[in-house]
Amino acid sequence: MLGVRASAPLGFVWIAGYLATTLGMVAAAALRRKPILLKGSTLLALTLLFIVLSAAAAVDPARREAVVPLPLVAFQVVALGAAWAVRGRWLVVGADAAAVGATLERCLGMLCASFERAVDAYVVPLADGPLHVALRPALAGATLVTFRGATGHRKAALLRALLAKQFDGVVPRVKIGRSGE
Amino acid sequence: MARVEQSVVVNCDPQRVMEYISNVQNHPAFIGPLKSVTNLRGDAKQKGTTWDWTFVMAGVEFAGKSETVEYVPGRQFSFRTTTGIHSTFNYRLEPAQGGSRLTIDVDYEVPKTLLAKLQTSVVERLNDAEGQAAVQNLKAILDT
Repeated sequence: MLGVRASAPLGFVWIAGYLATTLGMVAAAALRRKPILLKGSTLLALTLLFIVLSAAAAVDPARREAVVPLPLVAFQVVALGAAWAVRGRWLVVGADAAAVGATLERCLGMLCASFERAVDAYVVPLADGPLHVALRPALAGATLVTFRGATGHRKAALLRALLAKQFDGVVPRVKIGRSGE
Repeated sequence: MARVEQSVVVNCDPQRVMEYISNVQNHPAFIGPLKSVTNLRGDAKQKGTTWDWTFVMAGVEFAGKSETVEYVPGRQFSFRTTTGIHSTFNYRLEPAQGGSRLTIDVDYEVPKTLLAKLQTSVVERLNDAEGQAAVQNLKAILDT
């Protein structure tokens, strides 16, 4: 029989670790010279990992009980809800909406995709219905990118993949070989 | 010499398909691991024109250089990689079913140096699955 008891200090350690990781990623992106893409799906994956690890750490097999830090549980619920809400959104740090829009238009041209401009969005007509790509200014010159519609259309998936390639990730990549050798 | 080959019928005339493919700056749109094509020096339809490319696999970027080998309007576009592993990409078109049959084949040599061996995986990435994805992507982009 597994016992359960509440513990606050352990929970605050996990919360601090989660906040340090997520805010650290945004800060690292802001410090890079090139525009950096942060995906909501990555935040969701990170949040799920945080929940699994913190839940596993709460179980004390020696004492056959789970230490449940109530503030941590409350934080997990809020963090998971927030991460779920932004799972389909992107944040481009270091590029304003006009710059991201110009990049998006170049990608649409590469995909032979026609589009119409709305107030703060691009509407791409596709066979399964239109794809809406909204670009909204965020804090510190960043841009929030939201995709809506045409989720199953191959060209919509190609646009997302191609647009993502135009920006670096927050973690620098290992590079092998040099162009122009 | 190893070889990968894939083909698809595209509902688009061969001239338009070849115009699209011979613009090498379009290639990141349909080749998943290809991040960018830069420093295009001239018109890729001209033999000897060169450009730089960057592939991404498993979080690692591989960079190299390519040059045009042959361009035949509406029929063929070939280029080869000239750094690391030596390979030749050949795009061929023929009229089919009111559109075009597009065939992509890639020949590459077994490399000798360590760097080239690492870059082998770049070309091997264009194996059956990746090659099939590339031709299906082209179909999605060009079907009218």
